[in-house]
Amino acid sequence: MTNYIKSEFYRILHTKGVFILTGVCVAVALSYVVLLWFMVSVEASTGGYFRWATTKHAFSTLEADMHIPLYLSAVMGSLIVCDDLKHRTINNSVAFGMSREQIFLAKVIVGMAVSAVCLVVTESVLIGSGYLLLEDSGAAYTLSLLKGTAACIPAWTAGLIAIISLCYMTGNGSASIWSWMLIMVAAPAVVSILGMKFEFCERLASWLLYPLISTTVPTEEWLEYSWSTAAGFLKCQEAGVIGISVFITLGILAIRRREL
Amino acid sequence: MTGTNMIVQTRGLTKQYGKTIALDKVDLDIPRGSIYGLVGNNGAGKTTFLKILLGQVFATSGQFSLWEAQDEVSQRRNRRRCGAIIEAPGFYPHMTAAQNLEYYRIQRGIPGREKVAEKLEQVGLENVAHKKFKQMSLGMKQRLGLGLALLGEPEFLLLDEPINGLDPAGIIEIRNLLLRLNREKHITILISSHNLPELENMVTDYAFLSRGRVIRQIDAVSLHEQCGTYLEIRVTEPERYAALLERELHVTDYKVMPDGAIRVMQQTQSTAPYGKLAVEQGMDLLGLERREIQLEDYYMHLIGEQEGGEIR
Repeated sequence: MTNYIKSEFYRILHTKGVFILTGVCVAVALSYVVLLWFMVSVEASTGGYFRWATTKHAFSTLEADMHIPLYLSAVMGSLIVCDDLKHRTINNSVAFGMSREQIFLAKVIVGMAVSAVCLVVTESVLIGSGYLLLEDSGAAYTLSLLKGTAACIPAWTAGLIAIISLCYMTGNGSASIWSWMLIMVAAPAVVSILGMKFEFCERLASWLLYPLISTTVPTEEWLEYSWSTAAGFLKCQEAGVIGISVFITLGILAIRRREL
Repeated sequence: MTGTNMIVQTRGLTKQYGKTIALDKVDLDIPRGSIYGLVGNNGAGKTTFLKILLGQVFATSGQFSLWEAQDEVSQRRNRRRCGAIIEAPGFYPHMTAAQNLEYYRIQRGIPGREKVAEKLEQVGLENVAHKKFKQMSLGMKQRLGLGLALLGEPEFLLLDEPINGLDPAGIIEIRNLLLRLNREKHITILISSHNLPELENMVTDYAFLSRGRVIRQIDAVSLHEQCGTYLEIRVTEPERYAALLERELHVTDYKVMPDGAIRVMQQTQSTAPYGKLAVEQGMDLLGLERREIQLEDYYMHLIGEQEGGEIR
């Protein structure tokens, strides 16, 4: 499996997909900070004060939208796996005697590693450029962003593993993306809506990854997230681990049965 | 299943896709050191057979051994001694030929980066090493597939239509390479093709497949003996003549070709009675010629037998 992982890193370093995705994430984060910074001078020229050019606002924007990295995990996963099925390179690996389970687990490990690099680079650029260009609102908001990130990592990982599993189940990039949207986003949204009427659905929705990481409640001070309390943080971790376990099991079953 | 001299043995190997039977109780023995030709039309089951051996699809029933290994784990371990091209070679289109081979070299844990250049040279791609796969011609892609198959110094090559897309010079070059690998390195080669004249120049053993069934397994020497010659008779009333052949001369092994020619396959008597029969029955004898049976003819004859006299 080590050799397979090494070869995957070689491939990723020699193709553009992951670099483009990371570049887009970094560009969006940087552009947002630069835009806030630019607005300060625009407002100043008219004698006004642009109150949003703070690290508090910049970091909280990401923290309030933790479902965005979940979508990115799906794109990352499909970049790592779907090409193998499309170009039938997985056939060569299986023909050489690689175990299907090892191929799946290697893909998961590589996907997690590459996503982690993408996340670290993007957040570093956001935080670094925020401190360089914006008004410092204090370390509390940086720590809050890092805590939110830590809370959501299991959910994002589950999202990544879900798309990898779905690629092997459907054998098709676009079908896997649509299935992922259905399982990770649409179905939880429906359960959440039903939760307004049925208590069971409400309890179930509180464990589903998408609603769990995208629930933001405005408070008098600022915003409160699912992970703001210790119990909520633990619940995010637990739900993420359950998701990871379920999707790893489904993925292994799918790749074992897949005819190439 | 026993037989230490066999690399592959299959017994009752069956593959079903829904109601379609792709392979039907296939029993094959592939000896070590042979160049084994799988001959069959499209849909005969050649690719399915190779894919089962390589673990890409799963047999519905039956069993096979690979170097005597019958359990999945041992078979998987033994696949590391194989090299294969199945259908169109699978590579990453945005990577170059060299990068694609390097990717698989790392994956297979083959030491020495020079192996990539060595294999590219062996298959005649040294000048396009830095060309992206998507920009390569069909023939180049096929050569790269062969390069990948040879990358791990395999003991057993499984090649599905390996000369597809190659120009005539390329076909000769690849054929010579395969012959050399077989003779010098004793690599066993299982090759599927419907380019029968090409197989004739290299194969030591044959299996003829039709509609998922093995209709004959034969070594090249016996095949050559069986091919021998046939008698081609052209008369004005081929259908009536065919009936007379059976009744008067007790000939049963013959075929009426679509153009009306009658081929008597295992001819045991001189040509005279055949001509005499036509003349006596008032038919014009348009031609009477002894011809050599080519592999294609042999195959068509087998198919005719298999299809229960549809041609006869």
